[in-house]
Amino acid sequence: MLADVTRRLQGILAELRRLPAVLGATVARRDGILIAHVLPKTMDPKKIAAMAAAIVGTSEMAVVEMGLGSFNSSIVDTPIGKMISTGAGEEAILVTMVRNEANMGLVLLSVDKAVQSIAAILKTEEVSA
Amino acid sequence: MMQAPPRATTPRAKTGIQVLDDRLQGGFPRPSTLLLFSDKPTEKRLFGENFAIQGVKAGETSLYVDFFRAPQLARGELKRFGPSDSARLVLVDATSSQLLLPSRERYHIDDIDSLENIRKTIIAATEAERPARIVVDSMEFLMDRFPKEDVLRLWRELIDAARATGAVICFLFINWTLMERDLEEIRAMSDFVVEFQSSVRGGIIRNSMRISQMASDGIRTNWIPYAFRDLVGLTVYFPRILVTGPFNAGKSTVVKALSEKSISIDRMGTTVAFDYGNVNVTGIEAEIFGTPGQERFEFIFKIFAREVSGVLLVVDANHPDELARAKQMLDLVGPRIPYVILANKSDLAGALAPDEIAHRMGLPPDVTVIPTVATENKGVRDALLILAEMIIGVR
Amino acid sequence: MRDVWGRLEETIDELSRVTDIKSAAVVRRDGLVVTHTLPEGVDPKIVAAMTAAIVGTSEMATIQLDQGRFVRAIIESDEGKLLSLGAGDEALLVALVYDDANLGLVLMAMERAARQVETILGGGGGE
Repeated sequence: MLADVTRRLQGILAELRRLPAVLGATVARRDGILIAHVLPKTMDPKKIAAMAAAIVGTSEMAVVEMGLGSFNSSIVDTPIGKMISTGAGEEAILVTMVRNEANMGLVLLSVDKAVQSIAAILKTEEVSA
Repeated sequence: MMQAPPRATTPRAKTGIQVLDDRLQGGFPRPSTLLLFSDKPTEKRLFGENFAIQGVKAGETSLYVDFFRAPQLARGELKRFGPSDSARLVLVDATSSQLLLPSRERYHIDDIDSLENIRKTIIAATEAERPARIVVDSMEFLMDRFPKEDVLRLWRELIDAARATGAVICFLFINWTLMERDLEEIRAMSDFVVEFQSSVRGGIIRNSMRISQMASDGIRTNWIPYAFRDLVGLTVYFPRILVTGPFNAGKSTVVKALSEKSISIDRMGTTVAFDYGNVNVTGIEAEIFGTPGQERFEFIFKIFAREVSGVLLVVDANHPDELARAKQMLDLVGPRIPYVILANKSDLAGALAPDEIAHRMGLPPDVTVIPTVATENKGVRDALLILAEMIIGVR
Repeated sequence: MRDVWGRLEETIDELSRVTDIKSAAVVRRDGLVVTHTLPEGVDPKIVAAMTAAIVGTSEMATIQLDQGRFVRAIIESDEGKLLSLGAGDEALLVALVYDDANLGLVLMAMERAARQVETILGGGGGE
């Protein structure tokens, strides 16, 4: 059952990775544990998973503290690209690295789609577990 | 000539900062001479003002000799320390005459260019009012204007007058011109020297003070960080106490138990970023930061393990297998930072005894290990207090 | 030192007056508040700690991801955005902006303010 979930998540990430604008992606549990990833071998996906969990967790709390409604995403800008971290269901986070020259509208649509799929898979898994 | 002793409600003169008063065995002895000293203009005036007002709050009479501020201004500024009986605060007015204004205070120095007039006025006020505390703000005003030997003679005369009254006398002093030999002499005339220093980093000022008793086996504290709180006065202030330890030891619970208000960024039962709380207990103010315990979050130490005043290392007393990890986390914070170990969940049947924990961690026998039950707020406050005393230099 | 703090206050006041910016703060990279125009009911100490965590972690993630250097972090939510960027070695700048803000203008103003903060803290020196 778990192998099947991982395979399906990997599929979603691979599809995301096929977009020329996407440099890599990671699915992590909200407590920072790595679930799946499509990152270049030079990067440590476990570290990314933990850091993304810290960023999203803190951002969600920051948004509450400052009365800004509900959290959507965290975007880290760099000269090369953007690191977009967003919730993917109650238990997971999706982190996507995107080139700066990307068509952001299109990318965000794909990220949104991926988030919905991931959330659905994990929810089903939760129910059947 | 012996005077009747001043009205004092306690055997010793409190500073109002509890950990400090505890260290001083209740406060400064009566009589005694304090030197509030710094090389640069810093915060010694706050300590002097605090000391004067604490006396008034305790029902004593305090005499404040102010060479710099007009009495109305001084009285106004002294209100920052909270409400007190202004009749018990006696000022020696040194500025009205300079401004050619009539003085509203009972004691006023009419000729600021006459050291003799200054001496007479202060001594008259001391003999008549019998204050329990005297603050002279500040001696460099006199050093700038009069020959050094004359000022030193006056200094000794004021000490004698205070001693005869049984008062604690505080001299504020910034050294501009004196040589080490003269400073030695002034220190030798004093029972306690309180030094002040300030540092700035990234836009934040940190003030600290250090108390040394001149007697050979006397008290010596470390540098004590302090802050001023409106209407409260001076408090010992620790900008960062770090609460760390292995996963599930109870760190977040400790932060919550200590704080009036706290937050915890946690998911699925584990802290993913940090805990934060603000503590205000028995005159100690502190900001408490809890770290995650899981290894994958160690990067957080690079952000928060800076300028750490002290560490509360929380371990689960029932899990000796995690003690090595606990030691490792202590190393992440850095060397030479005071710490206390909390042997948490010590109410459970399998809990190890504190000395067994210290032994298994390979720590020296003088390390403090306190059994705690954080969920019931047992032992946690004590641990913080002991850590505070360690930082101040009591233990 | 009073001068440094006064200048920082001025910089933050000016930034807060930019149309789309609700409030702003200068915080130290280790999570302590330096100065702010945050509204009542928002704890500046908590905001400072959170900003430090977000930026510090993002900077390390940027390195992990081989993305060059951290430029800024933008937290997007339903009713506004939280923007943070570095202001020298010691400090960070954070601002709350309205949801429909003109980000280009806001970021320009923030960059300018961040450079000012960096200069003030760099040149001030200790007492």
